[in-house]
Amino acid sequence: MLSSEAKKPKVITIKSVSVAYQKKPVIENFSCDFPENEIIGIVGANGSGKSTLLKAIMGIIPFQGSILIFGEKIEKVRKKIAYLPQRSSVDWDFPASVLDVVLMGLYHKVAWYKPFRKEHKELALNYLEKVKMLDFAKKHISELSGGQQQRVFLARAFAQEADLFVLDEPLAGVDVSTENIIIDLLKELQKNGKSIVMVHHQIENFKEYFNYLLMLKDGKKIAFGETDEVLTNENIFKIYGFKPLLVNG
Amino acid sequence: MNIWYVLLGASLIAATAGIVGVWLVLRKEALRGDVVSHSVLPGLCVAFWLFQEKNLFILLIGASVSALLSLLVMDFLQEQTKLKKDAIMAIVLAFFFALGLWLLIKIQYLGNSAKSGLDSFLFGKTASLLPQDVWIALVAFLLVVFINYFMKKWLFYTTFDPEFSKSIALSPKIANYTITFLSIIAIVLGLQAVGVVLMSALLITPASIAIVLVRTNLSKIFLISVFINIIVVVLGTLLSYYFPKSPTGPWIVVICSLLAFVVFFTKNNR
Repeated sequence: MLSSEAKKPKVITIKSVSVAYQKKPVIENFSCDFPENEIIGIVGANGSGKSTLLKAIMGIIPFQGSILIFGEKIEKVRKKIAYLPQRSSVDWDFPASVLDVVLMGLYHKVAWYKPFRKEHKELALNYLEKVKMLDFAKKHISELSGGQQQRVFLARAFAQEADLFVLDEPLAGVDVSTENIIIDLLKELQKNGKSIVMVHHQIENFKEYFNYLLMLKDGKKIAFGETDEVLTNENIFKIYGFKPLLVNG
Repeated sequence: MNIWYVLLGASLIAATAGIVGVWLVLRKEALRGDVVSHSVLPGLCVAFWLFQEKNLFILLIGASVSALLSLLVMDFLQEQTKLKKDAIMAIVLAFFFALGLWLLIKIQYLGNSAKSGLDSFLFGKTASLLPQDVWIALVAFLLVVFINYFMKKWLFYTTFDPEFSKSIALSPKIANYTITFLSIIAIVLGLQAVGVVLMSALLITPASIAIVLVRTNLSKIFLISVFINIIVVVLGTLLSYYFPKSPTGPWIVVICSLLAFVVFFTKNNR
């Protein structure tokens, strides 16, 4: 097992990374290598540093240590990565239609100072169809349900035509049908050779959804490996304590 | 001066404020606009004091310097103290405005005959627009339209989803500088129409009306905001012509606010 893992090409290489918010350490001396072409779940209680780790990977917060993606620094490979931030960081009142949001994902096709053309809009509509949201293209984003909103943002990520998808709780607050649609789409991405790293909360579906699991607690790695190996009662207890999934903060 | 020139100048000022105001409202920076507009007063006075004439270009430079200074003070306080943002804004606004009033009264005691020109910056007097002011307004308007056109995606993305924007290398900081630059232009220009005290209304009220009315289409929001502002400013200018003792600013703001109330209440009763 271990030897086959060592041979696998790495999509992300994290070496002794530390992140602090206002001098308070959130992630400390963290190292981990993510294998390519897998669906990797990052799990842990609230405040365990899951989102912070994703932000460090994306190079949007300052950190110490080194992170390489496809063997390069993030600045060189941004166009190969699609990032889905947490829902709470989005301004839902902003005058944006569903189509506007998906078009954002096509930024790599047009310079930032140029407007999108008709062909881009058609392409964006294709991606909306993929997440079964075509009929909503002209709606304001706040008119959608949580699950529909998440599907639209996923369509934006798909539109980026990336090789690596870094998703921060894509399944937060979504209905069952949306969850199934999203998971099927992610598995399809994997089949097409893409890598997926995502933060997830619900404990029930770890086995079903993820090939690999990274278990975090207080900014430290508790376990990392193939889901079958690391998904033990002992590890679950370590990351969630006595009251799994009810912890807040 | 020919009233058509005055109306043209006033419309350009209104259109500029109408565009910039939309961004301030969308970015929830309406109060920041208020701080900047009050903070230009000391700069205006110093520029007038030094050059002893009401040359819009010189006054603009003075105003921009003191507006920038107020923003720097705000950023400094935010980094160095534990004060909350709204408290910092209130303190900086009051300080700069007080400084400005003090200078204004000093200048009036100096007894310069041109001081009446400075008065119009407090409450606004579009009738005091000079032909060269109209040219400056035209250049400023075109500059704002140009920047807004090319930066639209950048400002949109960083306001709507800042984390995603960072991930595609669109920096929210650059968006911030752009908005600051645009608001200084709009504010310094708009002082002629409505004055320091009421300037933020010229930025915020029409933009808020447009956002409530349109909701999804950003380009339409800009058009409606500009349209409302031009109508209101032209009306206010005409009214202050017919009632020569009344400044333009209060007319403009009262009309625009009444319109806003009507729109907000009818739209909310859906």
